[in-house]
Amino acid sequence: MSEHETIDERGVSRRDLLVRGGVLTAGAATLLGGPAAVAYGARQRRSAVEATKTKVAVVTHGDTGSFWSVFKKGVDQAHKDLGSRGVSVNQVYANNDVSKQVAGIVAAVAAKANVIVTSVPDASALKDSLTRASKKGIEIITCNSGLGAFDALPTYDCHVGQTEDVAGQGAGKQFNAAGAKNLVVVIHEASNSGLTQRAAGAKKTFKGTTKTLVIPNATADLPGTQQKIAAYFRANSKTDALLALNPDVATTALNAVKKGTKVGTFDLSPGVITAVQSGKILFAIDQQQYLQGYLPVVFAYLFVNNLNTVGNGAPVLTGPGIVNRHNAAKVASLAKKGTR
Amino acid sequence: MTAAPAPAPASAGAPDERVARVGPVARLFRRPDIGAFVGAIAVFCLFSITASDVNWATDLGVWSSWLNTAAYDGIVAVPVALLMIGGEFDLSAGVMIGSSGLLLGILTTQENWNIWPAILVCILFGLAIGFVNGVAVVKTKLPSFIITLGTFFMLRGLNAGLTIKLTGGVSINNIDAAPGYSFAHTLFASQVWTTYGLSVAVLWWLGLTAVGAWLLSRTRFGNWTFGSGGDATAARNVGVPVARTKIMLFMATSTVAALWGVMTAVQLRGIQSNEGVGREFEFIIAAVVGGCLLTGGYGSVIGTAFGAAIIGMAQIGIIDSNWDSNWVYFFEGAVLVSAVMLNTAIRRRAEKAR
Repeated sequence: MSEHETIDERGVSRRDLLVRGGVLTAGAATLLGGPAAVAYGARQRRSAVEATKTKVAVVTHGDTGSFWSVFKKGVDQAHKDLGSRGVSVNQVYANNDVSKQVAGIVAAVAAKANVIVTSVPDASALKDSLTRASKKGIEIITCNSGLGAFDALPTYDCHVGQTEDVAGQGAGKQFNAAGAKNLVVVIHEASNSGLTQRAAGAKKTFKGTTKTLVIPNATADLPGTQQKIAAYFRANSKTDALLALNPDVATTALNAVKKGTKVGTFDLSPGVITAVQSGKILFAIDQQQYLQGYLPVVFAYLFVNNLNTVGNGAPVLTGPGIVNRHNAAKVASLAKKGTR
Repeated sequence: MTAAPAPAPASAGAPDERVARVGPVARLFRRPDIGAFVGAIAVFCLFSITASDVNWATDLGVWSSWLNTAAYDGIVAVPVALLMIGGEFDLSAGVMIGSSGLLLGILTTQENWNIWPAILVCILFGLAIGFVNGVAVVKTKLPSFIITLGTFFMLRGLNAGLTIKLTGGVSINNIDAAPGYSFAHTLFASQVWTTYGLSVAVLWWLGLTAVGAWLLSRTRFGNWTFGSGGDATAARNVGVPVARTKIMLFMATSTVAALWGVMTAVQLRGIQSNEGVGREFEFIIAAVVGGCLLTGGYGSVIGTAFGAAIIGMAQIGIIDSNWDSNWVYFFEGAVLVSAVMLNTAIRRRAEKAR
């Protein structure tokens, strides 16, 4: 049984494959004598790298907002970089519609994708379709949100993202350092568990009191969002810090908060970077979503062609990186290109 | 139907019950907008009690806040109400806000146009989309719900696809760098009463409501609107140009949505490609709470303004009352359903008394 055959043999758990492949190689090495066997294996592998087509399906809950466009740029770039090596990428953005996301996963299985890269805003909703995909031997990589949700699947590879809880804790610490006492976290999508985890993380480390303000569909009605944030500050006059979980909400909030309020945000946009440079926004938590788009395509290629896995169960963290007054200028030029 | 000529007196002796004198109170309660008016007062009183941390009833900052929010829905709700009275829906009215704002952004930031010709193009774009919607509905005789749902999705795709293609990103920023911006800002996005933060949008809302109410109740076009929505065949038989009326109503809706898109982009100094998506329901809710029937032929623009006021008060009042914001959808829904129920109850009562 050559190594080439084990790669094509799907439907068996990946970890089994790895173990079996390892044992076989070791066995062959003892039979044929060390150096020769290694050289033979390497040659076989190189031809496999050239031959195998890698079909990647990227199915996320993302929308067409500024955050996901950077993610998409990462996917597009990886596709461009690896396209000549037989990597094809299909992308579905479900716009926060979980049933549309499920449909995208089902379609990817039907199209015989080798690897499905998916974000997990709601694990229970995706469970059936991802389990079915895994049974067909399709490798699963989660990105953006969904750490730990599907690591029990036999074909689970890794998670590429930032842990929402830790990122939220980072934000809480930033507010502590700035001396804030009363924090409000604006939650702009009512049914995204990642956002609630960020708020919970901030509450965990923030030493003052933390409240949340839910504004459903906030990014589709930014003028109304501004009025609602202003209303919150009127009803809670002691509030001196605001954490936005979306850059557009953050820049809108700047017109609504009372003077001297410390504003922090998740994720970057040109507007946020300008505001950080001018000191209107204290800090931005950057989860570098470009990496969340780029890396899974590379990992998919490496797995399909070389059976490489990443992380051994631990996530590949893309954040949190803190953008503040000191490094904002450098990031600004990259953000203009739409990759930060 | 208001378009019908006044009936001649039946006979000199027995007074006709159709032209019987109606007391001023009964007449008041038969107005389609009375339910929304009473509902708005009820919602106002509710928040006067629950929003105890702020001076809900007397703080003009609070008034400005909910009036601004009401205006953001109320401006587009005016033509949406007229269209609904004319018997049709426009589900593309929400996404049109984004389309127009993005068009303004592309013309000013990518093509470096002066903002005024760009605004003119946005308005023409609104007229064109409305014309397409209207002609498609009139010619195919398909429900406008389906036609405009199609327009909704096409525009939504266009917003994302074209913006990314042209700009490489999905939000357009720095519209304020365009020549002519400062006057556009004064006209569309300034605060008319800076002490309390009252937005100029409120004046636009009140102005458009006045124009809409005048059109509906004082002009021939208003009568055509009622006729087209009430019974299109009967209206056509008495000479109402139903197709033309409906097309004009669609054009008015898209154009005002485009205008609001321009106003939003000017206010935010930029725009995001998903701006406006989902807002069409808020416009329709404002019209329905305001007494417009989903079946057409009945309704009021002034009532719609009160409907928008209820939405504005609900959205701001829930936050000012410090209610658990996780429940905000529920509160909004409950307030709106109660307002519609009150509305219907009052109308039924008034009609029974007839």
